[in-house]
Amino acid sequence: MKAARIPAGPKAREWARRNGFSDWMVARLVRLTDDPAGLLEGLKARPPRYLRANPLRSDVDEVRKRLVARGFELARTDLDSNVLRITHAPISPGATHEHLLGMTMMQDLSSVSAPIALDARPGETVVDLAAAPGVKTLHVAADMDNQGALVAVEPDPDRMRALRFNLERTGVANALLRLGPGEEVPGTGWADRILLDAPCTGEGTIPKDRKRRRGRIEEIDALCRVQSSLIDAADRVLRPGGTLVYATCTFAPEENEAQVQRLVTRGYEVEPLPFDACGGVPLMHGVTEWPGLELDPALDRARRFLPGIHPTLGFFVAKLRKPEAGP
Amino acid sequence: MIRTATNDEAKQVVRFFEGVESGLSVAVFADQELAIVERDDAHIVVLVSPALLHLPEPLLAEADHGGLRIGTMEDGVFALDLQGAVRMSAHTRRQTVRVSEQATRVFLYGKPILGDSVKSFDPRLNPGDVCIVSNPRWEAIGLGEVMGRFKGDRPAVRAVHDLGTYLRDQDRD
Repeated sequence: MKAARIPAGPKAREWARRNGFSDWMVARLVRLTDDPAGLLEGLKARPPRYLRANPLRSDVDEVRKRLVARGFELARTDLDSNVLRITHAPISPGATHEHLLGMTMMQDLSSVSAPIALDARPGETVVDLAAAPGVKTLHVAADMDNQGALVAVEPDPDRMRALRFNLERTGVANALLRLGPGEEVPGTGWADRILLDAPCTGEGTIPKDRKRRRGRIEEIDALCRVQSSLIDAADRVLRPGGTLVYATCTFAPEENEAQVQRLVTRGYEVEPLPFDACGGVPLMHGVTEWPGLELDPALDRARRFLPGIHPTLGFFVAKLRKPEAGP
Repeated sequence: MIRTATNDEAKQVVRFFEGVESGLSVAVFADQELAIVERDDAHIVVLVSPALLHLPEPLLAEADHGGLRIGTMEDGVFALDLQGAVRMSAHTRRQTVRVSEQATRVFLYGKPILGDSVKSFDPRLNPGDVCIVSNPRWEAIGLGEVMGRFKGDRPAVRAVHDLGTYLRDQDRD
């Protein structure tokens, strides 16, 4: 699959030049949203910071009380009652005693959407197919109340160490960690639910990573190949009737809707998500029209978080159900 | 790989906790099972959900890690690790040296605790013993070795392993 090369108009080129973005990226983002100015300004702004209280260690009220006593100022969010927005931090939130005690995990608000969509239950068998550094793995493990089995897969040894540290610090006991490519997870049809937060070009993280403003469009093509092979692995491992949540932190429809479309073609159903807004602003629906792609209308049920429009980094999430086995 | 603990390994671990306080092993294990992760010649003792050990065999055989690490088997004897201490501290105050908030900050940088900073301690601890170091709330912040006694008969403690490792050592195995 090749990413759509959309010509940049003079205004887009000028904006890109002034702000250090690639022309092609700005042209695609302008095409993607109804509010391109809001999104483009959001990509330049400093992103809000959040932490999530770890239910395996404490509860959000206790975490809040302890951090407020240390001088933090924290606000509730509408997407997840365990997530607190950090409006003032006297020290790094990742260096507090509460963090070392495993009571908190630093994460963007948008990223909680994937575990919420997955809705893992105690006693199930769940796979996190691209797990490091373990932020969503912890969320899923806590949803499972440390019961059942959660297979966390990570191909990179350095990132695996971070995953191990984070899950140990936060008290996770139901996870098996597998070092290796997600494509090589053995077996067929044994997982009840799979979370695939796929490797991606990370356009949604531009607010905290300036160098991504100058990405190359060929990177989308390369990542699409990785995403496709991981989706194939997820399809193999998931049991009939099981749930797959596909997510990325990028905007490109080739990396998002087009990947989900591959499963829709195999009979998967795109399911409604249990949330529709963030920060009081409706989330962007999945796109069903994009140059070079044929997309099912059901992809409208996917959702995007957009910096500048939502108080988050960029994120895409879709929930799918695998068809039951035939007669 | 990850596997169920052998009877001998399980006995060693149970003996350790029961040696601290009767009934402690049941409290620490809760509804989880003992298992062993074998990696790089180490035998890591972990607590796991029972279902984890029923995953397909190739996943168990090829696992990098699994469950919550509470210690290691060294020459057939159980040695407590950080999260084992965290689990223990929720159920007992034995073998524990509780220190001030300020000393907690110092200890989390791997620095020793001096007698002045100790708020309370298990009087059965002797120089050379391994102890749990806790903050004023009785939450374990690491493991130490009792070095000697100072003012008011309070122990001084050398840091052996502290929770600050989760910040300092992510790039080390």
